[in-house]
Amino acid sequence: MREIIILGSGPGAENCPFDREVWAVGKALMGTKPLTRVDKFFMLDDLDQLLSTKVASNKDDYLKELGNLTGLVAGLDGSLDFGPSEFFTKADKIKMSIHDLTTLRQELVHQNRFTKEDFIKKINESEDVPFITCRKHPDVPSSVAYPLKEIVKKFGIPYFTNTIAYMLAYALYEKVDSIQIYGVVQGGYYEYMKERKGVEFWLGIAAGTGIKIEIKGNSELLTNDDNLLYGYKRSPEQLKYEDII
Amino acid sequence: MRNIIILGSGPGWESCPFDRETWVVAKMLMQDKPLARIDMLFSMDDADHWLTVRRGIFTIEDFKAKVNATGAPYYSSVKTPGIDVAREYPLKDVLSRCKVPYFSNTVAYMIAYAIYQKVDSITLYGIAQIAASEYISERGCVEFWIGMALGMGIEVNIATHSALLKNGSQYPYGYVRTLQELREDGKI
Repeated sequence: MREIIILGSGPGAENCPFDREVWAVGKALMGTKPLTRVDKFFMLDDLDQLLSTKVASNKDDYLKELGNLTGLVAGLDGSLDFGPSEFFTKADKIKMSIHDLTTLRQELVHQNRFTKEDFIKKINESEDVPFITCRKHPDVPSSVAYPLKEIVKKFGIPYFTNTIAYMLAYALYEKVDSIQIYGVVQGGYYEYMKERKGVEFWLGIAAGTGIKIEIKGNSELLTNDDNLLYGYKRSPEQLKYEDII
Repeated sequence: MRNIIILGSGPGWESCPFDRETWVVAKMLMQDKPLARIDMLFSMDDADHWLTVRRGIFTIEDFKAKVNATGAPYYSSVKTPGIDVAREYPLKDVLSRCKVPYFSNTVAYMIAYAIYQKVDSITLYGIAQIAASEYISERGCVEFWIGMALGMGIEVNIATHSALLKNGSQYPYGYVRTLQELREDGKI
């Protein structure tokens, strides 16, 4: 049995038990908590496009996003009545606790201190861990090109909306038996609007091939709007109670 | 071999050949052009909320008469009174095979039902998923069920213009070359 954890950098990542093979997104290195075990890092993004590394070039945008989030946290004084923010489109629908939002804010503040050079230094401290990316990075000796050709040849569909989608496809390619997912919320603006669907596609293939999938913590993945099944207007729990499912 | 067509009302549906079992999104009955073959109809929505009904373009009674004229089984979340061959969608049975209670629109239920029925291939016509709510809220779920079908060895074809399984641009995420360029370079 080959069991893996896919570890994102979103809320809930801190609950990862690190008790099996861990594949982490590169951004997880920029979190506040130490990663006790990582077997592979993945980052298909351009390093220059990472949120924190963009700060130097456009600090105003970053502070605006951070400000929105700060507003959310400040507004959580017992009331969940906050409006949509540019940063967290679905924050009002994700049942995030005050603790989650506060942690997220702390993480973002922490990430704000990272530059591209900091990241390269940090990834190079884990020199024995493969850093899987679009192409071998000249400043990262452990970097390995993602086997795109092999994976597209195997599955036939070049549909990848973010690093998590690539990680799932890679897990399928490596024929793992189970995948636990921590810290992958997909509730941010671009994640929810554009990226979530590609992740769900690869989750579908994984589920169809019999791989056990567990999504841990708060996540928008495989979640019905308002937790109600379309047409039935009831939650899976209610339908189970009524013996409909 | 059991090959089916799932037919929606999006762009390009007219090119559907109706040359095999055809499962139709029931709203299709409210347009003018005849459908050459209908084996099953599906509508998991509440018909009272359809835009055409709310705007008075079509009434529920018109719709029921159209459904009854087809003689095809009509699947919905509840057995609809006034429809002769109304059937309740077998949600429990479908989930006993497919496990994941995640459904954001009628097409997702249709694909799940096709998996449950162990079809060999599914071809989608007129399923564009480009309208705002479809693109943002529903598309990921349809793609999940397409993935599930592919994972179970069912062939899936998307025959007409659709946003399904397409990256937001010609560039796969992270790569600085288009799919076409990557193909030409032998990278995929």
